[in-house]
Formats: sequence, C-alpha cells, structure tokens
Amino acid sequence: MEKENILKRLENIVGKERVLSKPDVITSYGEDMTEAEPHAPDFVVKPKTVDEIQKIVRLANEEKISITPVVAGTNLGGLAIPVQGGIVLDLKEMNRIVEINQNEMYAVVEPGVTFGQLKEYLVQNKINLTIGYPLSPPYVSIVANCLLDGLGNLSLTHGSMGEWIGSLEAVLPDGGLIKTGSAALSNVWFSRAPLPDLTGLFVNWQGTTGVVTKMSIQLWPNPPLRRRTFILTYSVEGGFNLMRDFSRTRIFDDIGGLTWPTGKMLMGIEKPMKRDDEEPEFFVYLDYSGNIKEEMNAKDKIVNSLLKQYKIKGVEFEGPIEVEDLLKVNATFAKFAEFPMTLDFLIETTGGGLTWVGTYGPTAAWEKGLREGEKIMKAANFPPIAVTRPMKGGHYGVLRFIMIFNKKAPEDRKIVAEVNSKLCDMVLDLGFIPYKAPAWAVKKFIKRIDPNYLRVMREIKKMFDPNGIMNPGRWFL
Amino acid sequence: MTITIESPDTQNLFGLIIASILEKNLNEPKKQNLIRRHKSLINIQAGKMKVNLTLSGDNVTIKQGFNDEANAYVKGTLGALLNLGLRRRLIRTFLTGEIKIGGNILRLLPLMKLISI
Repeated sequence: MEKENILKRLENIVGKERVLSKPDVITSYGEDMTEAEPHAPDFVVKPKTVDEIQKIVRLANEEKISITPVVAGTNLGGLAIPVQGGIVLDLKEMNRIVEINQNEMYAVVEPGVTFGQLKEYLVQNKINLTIGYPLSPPYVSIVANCLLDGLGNLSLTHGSMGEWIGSLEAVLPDGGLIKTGSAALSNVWFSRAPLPDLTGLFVNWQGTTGVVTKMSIQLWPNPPLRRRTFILTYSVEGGFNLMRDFSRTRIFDDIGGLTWPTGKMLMGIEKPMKRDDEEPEFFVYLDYSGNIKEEMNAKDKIVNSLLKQYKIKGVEFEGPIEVEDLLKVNATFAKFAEFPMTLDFLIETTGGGLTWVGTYGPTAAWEKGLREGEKIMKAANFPPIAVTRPMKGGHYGVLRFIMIFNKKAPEDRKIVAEVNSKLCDMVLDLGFIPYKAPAWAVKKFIKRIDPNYLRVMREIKKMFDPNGIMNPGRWFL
Repeated sequence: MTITIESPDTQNLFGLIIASILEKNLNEPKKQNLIRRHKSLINIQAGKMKVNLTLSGDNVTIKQGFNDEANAYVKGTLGALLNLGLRRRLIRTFLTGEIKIGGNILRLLPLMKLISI
C-alpha cells in the first residue's frame, strides 16, 4: 500500500481536514475499553455524504485496504478495532435525522445520530413518541446498536434492537447503493416486511457486508405516566421466577434483573466482593406506563397481587420500592431513573477497563448460568456482576456478565480474557449465544455452528465482498 | 462530624444506604448538634439486613449485625423504613406492625430526625 498516494486520494474525496493519518491522532481509534489487543488504523476518514462513502469504498477495493466503520467508539468486544489497519470510517458527522414519520411511527437516521440527539429532537419538537434505549450513554449511535442487535428498554415487548429496524440504505462493498425493506419499493420506510428480508444481511454482520448510511427505526407511543419500581429478592432463583412470571402478564415495558454487586457499586464500592447472607442477592426492576391514572392503578394492582402470591409461596423479598424514593435516599440512583443512561460506575473506573460476555438464550437456564458464572468470576477475584432481561414477551432472555479491570495492566487483561473464555464456554453449553460476539468468542462457537449455516455465510460474504475489505477479522468469514 | 462505616467493602446494602442518608443529613449543623447531645447504640433491621449504629459525640459508626448492648432497636421491611424516613404512612406503618420499635424509645428519637429523607 502506498500510503502517500492513498492519503492524497482520500483527501481528494473528503477534503484534507477530514482525513487523519498522524499516529498520535489516530491511535485512539484502534482501541476500546476491553481486553482486546489494540491495533491502530492507517487512516481515519470522516465522510459526510453517501457519495463520499461510495468513493472511499471503491478506492479501498482498488487498493485492497480494509474499512472499519465506527461512530462513538464505545463498542465492546473489539468489533471496531481495525485489526488490519486500513481505513476507519468515522461516521459521527453523518448525523442527520432525515425524517420523522409520526403516523407510521419511525425515524430515518444517519449513522452518526445518537440516542441522546434523537431524544432531544423528539422532546424539543413535542413529538410524543419514544425510541427504545440501551443501557448505554446518550452519545452512542442508534444505527450501530440496532445493527449489532443489542437490547434496550423496550426489548421486553419489541425484541432485540435489530427487530426495530424498518428499512435501510447501505453502501455495498463494491461501492453500489442498496435499499432494503419497504424502502426498496416504497418511499415509506415502514417495515422490513413484506419483501424477502435483505435487511438481515446487515444485522449482526458486524460491518462485514457494507456501510449502512440510513436506517429507519421504529418509534413508539410515549405514555405520560410511568413507574419504575424495584423488588430486592433474597435469592436469585426467586428473582428469576418473578421475572419469568411478570413478563407473561404483558403489562410491563421493561423488566430487568441485576445481581447484588450493582447496588453496592451505586453506593460507591468499586469492587464489592462479599455479600452478607442476610442481604438481598438480586434486584428486579419493573417498568410500566400508562395513559391515565386508572390504567396505572390497575397495573399497580396486578403487581401487588403477583407479589402477594409470591409471599404466600414463601419467596422472600423487599419492595416494591419506587425509584423516586431511592433517588431521595441517594442521588446516584438517578443513573437508573432515566433513559438514556450513563452508568459511570461501570465506565469511569480506576482501571478504565470494561468487558463482558453478553448472551441471548433460554430463560429456563438463567439460574444455572448465573450460579456457574458467579463461581467462575469469584474464583478470579471479580465481583459477580450480571445483568439479565426477558426479551420479546419472555421468549428468550439476556444473561450478561460484566467485569471492570485495569486496562493498562497486561496481567489483568490476560486474566479477564481467561475468565471471559470460561464464561463463554459455560453459556454456550447451556444454549445461550453471545450477541455482539467478539472474534475470540466467534472462534469458540464457530466450531459448534451448523456447517451449512457457516457455508452460506461465507458464500454471502464472498459474493458481497470478494476482496475482503469490510471490517476483516469478524465472524471468520 | 465523622461517619464511619466499619469494613465498607463488606458492609451490607442497608448499612450503605443508612450511611448515605446520614452523610447528607449530618451536613446540617442542627442535626449535628442533635447527635452531639445524645449517646446511643441502636440496632436497626431492614428486612433481614442488620446494622447497629453508635452515636457518640462527633462520631457515628455503622457496623454490620446487631450489638447485644444496644439501647434500642427498630425493625421493619426496607420499604417500611424508607416510609419512616420519608415521613409517609407513619400511623399505618406503626399500627400494622410493619415497623417494630423497642428498648429505650428516647434513644430512638434523634434517629428519627437523622434518617429523615
């Protein structure tokens, strides 16, 4: 690769000020918060238009340089680390909210549009619709999260975030432009249905099939009344049973379960290792909303009635305790009161490192998965931080183990890598599947995967991207 | 005025919550004076979580578990104790036995002001 020549050609496409190549400037694009090995790009390019992206992709094909799309750079798992150097496509400045369709309830956004930005737009323009939010800071990209099929606070009702995508527009690895979903045939980007679903060729493919330049995402009615309440159960088993039963009532917007260390971390203990036998082990939160007071009262009644039944069964718990009351106890509970969230007690830690094994899988295996995960983490001297959530009405659930560590210490990075590896083996055995799977996890489950599934993935990738320029090192394609 | 949590890394959640409330309230000189005038050792139980609180001069110490030498105790569900702090549904809370108090009630009086949220 003749760097100088490529630099000039990139500058001709986007302008000199939007191409970065000095090592001290671009190094940060080559790392994330995890234990993943950093690798700097050769260039960082900041396009503003689809036409620019098409030209960059064609150049990359000619010169056989890799392209890694990135927005906020908060991705975990090394998915946006350019393992072959090449070009990092920084899409932050492509941040237009192209359309809000209030009747069909969707927003068309460019990849640089963040959750915070869209929320502010909806509020300022008095549009009474909401988007689902992940457990991520407000400055993360909507497009990136949806394409990586993450989870959000409306996932209980509407599934993983990939299911919230209506249509999209993408630059293919050959520089061509495609529209998928209803946008392929209609000027209304209302749905993935009813055409054959090519949107799926960009969801979970980790940027290996093209660069998405616009996406429609479903918006939802935003009822004026809402309640978030916590139930603290003295056993994990009690908490999971509550979550499974509550998710079947169809009255909640969101249900989540957090293990006991999260409560102590909120109260300022960075590494809580010990739990008293007489303190709650698990915190369940319930979110519900309504249009009128009577609706909320009815939902309150259902919650209380279910809890009464649990008390009769002998399940021990504290609550329900409303988040407004917790806010009065300690203002740090505000982190859990509003979306989008900035969970700084996870992000802004002494060591600066954050990693996880996050999976989707059968809620019947929650208890076993959590107990085994607890053993693995404690054996390596990590607090057993885990987040769980029922998804799509309880059809499946999230089980995610989180570790914070000292990113600058090579020994710590090695230890978390080993713990992650053990956690991944364990969850795979129980039927869970990692989402936003890092390359090291893909290595494990690619041995277990249906061979024809893998064959078809590889054929699609070869057809789309014969030069292998799009975010190489993912999915072992 | 100092608030000490014994072994904060292993303190139970209720102890941490109490510490948080006390830290906020003991910024007020009036409440500081209240503590200075009283000497108490109080057991508090929220659900199954137990802590004991020593009020002595300029020091407040929160320890895990009960102390057999406590002057007084308060027991209730976590929700009921929060209601107590929030001065909410007090009559119902006491009449229905959601909160139980015992020992030297006079020693509990400063606590009521200290844990107000």
